[in-house]
Amino acid sequence: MIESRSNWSWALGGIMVLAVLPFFLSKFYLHLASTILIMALFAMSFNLILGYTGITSFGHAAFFGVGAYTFALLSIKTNWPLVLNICLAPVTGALAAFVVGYFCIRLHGILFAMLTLAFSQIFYTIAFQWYGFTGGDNGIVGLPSPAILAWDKGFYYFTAAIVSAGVVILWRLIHSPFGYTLWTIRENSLRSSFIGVEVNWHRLIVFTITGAFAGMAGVLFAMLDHQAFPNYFHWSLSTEVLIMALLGGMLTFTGPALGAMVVTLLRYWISSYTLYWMIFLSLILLIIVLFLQKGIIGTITERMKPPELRT
Amino acid sequence: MSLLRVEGLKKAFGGLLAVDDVNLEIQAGEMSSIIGPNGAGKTTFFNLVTGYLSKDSGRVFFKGDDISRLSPPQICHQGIGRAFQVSNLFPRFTAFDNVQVALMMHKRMALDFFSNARKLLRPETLKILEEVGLADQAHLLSKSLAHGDQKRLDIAIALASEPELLMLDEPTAGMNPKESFKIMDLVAGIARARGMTVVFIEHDMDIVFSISERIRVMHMGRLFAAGKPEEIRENREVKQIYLGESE
Repeated sequence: MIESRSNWSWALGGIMVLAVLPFFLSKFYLHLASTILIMALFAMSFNLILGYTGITSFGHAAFFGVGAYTFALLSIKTNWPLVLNICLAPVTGALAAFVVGYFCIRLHGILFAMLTLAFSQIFYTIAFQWYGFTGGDNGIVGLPSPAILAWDKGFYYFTAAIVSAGVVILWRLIHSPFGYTLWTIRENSLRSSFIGVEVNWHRLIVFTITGAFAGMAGVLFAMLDHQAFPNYFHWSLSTEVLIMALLGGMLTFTGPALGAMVVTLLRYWISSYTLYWMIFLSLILLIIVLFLQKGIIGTITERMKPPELRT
Repeated sequence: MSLLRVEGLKKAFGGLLAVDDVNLEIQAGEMSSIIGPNGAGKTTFFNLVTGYLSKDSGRVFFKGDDISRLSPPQICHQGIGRAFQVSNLFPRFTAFDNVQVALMMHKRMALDFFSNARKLLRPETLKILEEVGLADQAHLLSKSLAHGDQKRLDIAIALASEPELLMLDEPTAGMNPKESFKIMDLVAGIARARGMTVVFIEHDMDIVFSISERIRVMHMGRLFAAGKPEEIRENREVKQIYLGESE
């Protein structure tokens, strides 16, 4: 474990970089930076279940989509204040995660993964087919947004602030006693129950929490381009966030953020040359599984540790 | 009043009666053992009492309360601790973390979302590690501990929930006789100091007869005999079914 003082300096450095970034980036790259931040929040919160608790979900895009659509639908169908619409999205994200989790949480491994996948595809189908309510495959476009957030730098700072707050909350969470129960469940759920942890209840709670974060990431993503589309719910986004976490290192706190950055950058660059971005995503997955099982950050931190503490 | 009372406990796996109508009472403060040939139902009995397996029938009372339908975490909070035959640890965490987290759960902090866990209960954790003689290895990953030390850590984790009844499933499995005696003396010492009741499953007869105040013999799922060591030693049937086989 890294000393707390160096944690502070890392955090401070990170915030400073985020603060000055808009002065160096073009409009296009600032947009990209906002996207990376949103995906970083999504991937880091997703890692709460994947890396910390040891639950593999193939359906996490569902809650991202629920957040985005909650915000989008409220924005066009009501006159409610923007702040309320934003705040309700993580609530519905959590609610959706709680309901899905309630039915899945007793299952383990591949069964759990498949059931979350099935649920997320139900959400996807609803968004895709229900033209009367969701606009179907036309999505919901032209979401209103106040001038300050329509301005690219304004939105970037807004995103950076929310993502930073989210990261602080995640940090506190995983270093709390609740966070400790998560790794006991991952390491040895049998023993965990014998030291007094209600394992399934804790799994459901953490699944719900990640639903809230996914919902928040979804809102930001909808606000970024003032639109929401059914593919926000799609399983391909679920696997993408999984790959981000794996690539950066699912047993590290910051790894998934780095994974989000690498995947998002590659996607933008590769997409400008070819339509077959998915091939490269698959290649990344291959490289992780074959050569980088601990992910980028995981491999580096492992090298820095004294041998007796290597896992 | 007895600390643990078991009435008509039954469990079958398919057609095999693993635990067949077991009745017993364990008195508070007692140091007792359960012996019996492999497959006698000893571990299954532990699994039934601690709530890991569901009972086909029968009831379990702890301090007079019916705990038959409680889950393992609930039974842990009632005051029954358990250590395992094969060390059952959190492998990629230090010995210190292993005990500290168990203490947190015992203090019902599981739903504390914002305290800094690292700083919690440090002296208490160290005290338990000292009790089992692992203080100087607190910083090591539990999976890199020597076999005997892993068994000690397993016991330390159970101790963290301040059990009134500690159930040890073969605490000396895989140890040489010298280590075995050391660990059992340690357990006996801790039990005396804490006023804790201990029941352990053991195959080594030297240990069983030198440490237990009371011995229960299981055979084919049934509680076959129970008594003081000298009574069990003199019991002809026990010799036949059990001691005869191993001597």
